[in-house]
Amino acid sequence: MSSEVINELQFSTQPLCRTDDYVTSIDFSFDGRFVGSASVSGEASVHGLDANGIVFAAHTGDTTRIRFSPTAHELATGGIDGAVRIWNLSGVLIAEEVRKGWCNDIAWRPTGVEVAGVVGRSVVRVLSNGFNGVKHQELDATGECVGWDSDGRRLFVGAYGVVLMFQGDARAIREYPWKGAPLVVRISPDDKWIATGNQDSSLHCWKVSNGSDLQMTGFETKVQHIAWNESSRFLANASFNVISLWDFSGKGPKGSRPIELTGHTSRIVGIGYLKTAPEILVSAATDGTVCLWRPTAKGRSLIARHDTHLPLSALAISPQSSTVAVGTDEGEVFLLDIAGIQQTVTT
Amino acid sequence: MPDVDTRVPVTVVTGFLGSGKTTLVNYILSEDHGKRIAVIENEFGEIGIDDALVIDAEEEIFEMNNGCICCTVRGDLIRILGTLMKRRDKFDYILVETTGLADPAPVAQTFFVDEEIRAQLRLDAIVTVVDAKHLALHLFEEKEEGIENEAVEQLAFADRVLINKIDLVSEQELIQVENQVRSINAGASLVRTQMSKVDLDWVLNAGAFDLSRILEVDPEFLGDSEHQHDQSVTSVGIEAEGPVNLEKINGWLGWLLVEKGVDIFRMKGIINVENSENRFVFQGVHMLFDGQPDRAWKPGERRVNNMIFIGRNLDRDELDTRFRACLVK
Repeated sequence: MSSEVINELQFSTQPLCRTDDYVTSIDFSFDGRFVGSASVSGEASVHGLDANGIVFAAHTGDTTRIRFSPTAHELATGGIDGAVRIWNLSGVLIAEEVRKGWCNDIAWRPTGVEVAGVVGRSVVRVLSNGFNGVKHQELDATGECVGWDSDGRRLFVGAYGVVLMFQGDARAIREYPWKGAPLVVRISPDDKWIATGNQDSSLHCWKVSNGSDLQMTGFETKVQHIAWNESSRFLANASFNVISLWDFSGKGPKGSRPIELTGHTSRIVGIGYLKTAPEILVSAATDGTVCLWRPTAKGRSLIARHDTHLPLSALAISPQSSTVAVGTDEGEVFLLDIAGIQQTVTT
Repeated sequence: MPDVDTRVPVTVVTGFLGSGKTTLVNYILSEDHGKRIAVIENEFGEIGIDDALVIDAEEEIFEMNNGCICCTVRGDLIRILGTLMKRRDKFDYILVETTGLADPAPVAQTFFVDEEIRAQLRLDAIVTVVDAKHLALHLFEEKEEGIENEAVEQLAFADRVLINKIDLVSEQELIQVENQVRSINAGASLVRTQMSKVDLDWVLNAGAFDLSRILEVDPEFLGDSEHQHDQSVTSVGIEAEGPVNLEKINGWLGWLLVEKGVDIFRMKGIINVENSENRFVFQGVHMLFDGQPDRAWKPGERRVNNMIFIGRNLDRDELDTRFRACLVK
């Protein structure tokens, strides 16, 4: 643990909203004006930063994911009832698809025209115009995670043993095989790399172009959270209470050791780069701490740590401001303003 | 570790098709035990009990690339258990019913490998239900080369065995069935049942995977005399008095896991380490191992090393000789 003086974060002690149970997922709208949360209670919430908003029943059983449209004031949810649904900000249903199984992950196409999700062994596509007609694809194993490339031309789906690449609504056009169970998939912003965090405590990366791959192992626990920085140079991953940072510049991370960021004392529930200060990485953990890191190869990297004294369960970062939202296992959502820290960093 | 283990216990119910697994699960749910139970099973049975939740599972097996060639886990269980443990109103108990053809190893290994599950749940016991009338049929069923006999595996992994449907067989046949079970698994406790009716305390909170309650192995079951059949899955018990050298025993455990882990389904034991006032207890499933210092030896207690291995093609002499080489001369 660092003994240096760490900056204090501004923290609203009033929750933005409350749902009845554990927050599984949290997100900001594209303009940063709204925050949504998904709850084990089956509820979803949508609130403005002024705390005006609604909590509504989105699914029967747990709501597992919530994601705002990248282009409009719409949001999508997935649930263990097998449904992927698109709602407007008043909680009115716009479109839905229901399949057998649980929805484990959803992702908006960057153009905003559709949501892709994995439900059981199906890849589900829901169009935001409410029309139905996109073909669903079947998988050989339960779908675990989905991700799009930057312009939304290609969809990547992770299931046990493989990452599949889809283009348009055709069959999978490429397989990236590897005997492991991916839990999260993220495409680098330059669309060159596919990265997955895996059940067997590893990170796996493939080059999109030729499928050549890299494997990083030796993490303490399964890898549930990964994030690329804006330039695609750094890939961060969390395993239990440690963040590892891999440098993809030059020859790439093959054979290299990662930069390790330590400061949390328990399981990390989310990581991501700030949009307004892209050199800063934010993380939150179940011990209640939220950390800001400015990783460099040498020297100090932890620039702020704040103990919310809350049992944190989820993290989201505003795309437009210095605001971070956290969810708790009691069903609450709180906002943190990290503006002061950014000033410290830039001066 | 806190003194009181607050983790939610999980009992795994295995057994061949028609042995009475679902009857056992239904019986547990219908009894007045005051527990809120979640059941994870493959096909929905005739279960409609208040306060119980029944979740459909898919038996999805994940191989783990963690250097352990036989390590598999149940991907569906990780998802389901992870979801259950997020709920504010947690369940008091979880039952996992496997299909008749399931290999119990991935289920057991799930509780060793996934740290979130391990932190919140504890595997209490593997309970195997046996159809007394048809056990022999399943045990001696010819399998293709390389295909496991699931009935044998389910017995080998068991902590508790229900010899069910006893009304359909004679006393003599029952004794034969019990001997068959013990010749595969000398460490499990056996009970005779009809309609899977059993004392609930015997199957729930049995603590069979609890290191602090590692069973004292009954040496009576460990002799060679029980070997009535030429079979590849057996139990090997080792009992030896005297302290062992710490360095040597570490080497022995390393050899055991790497060289024999594939063949060992279950193992548990108590070791008397030289210059230690505490018992060392361990257990394992294939290559996954859990060991820690336990309570102090009592004054006057015989400091005996006592362990049992249940597995395939186990060489009793090799295991025994290599262990005895660790004893302080």
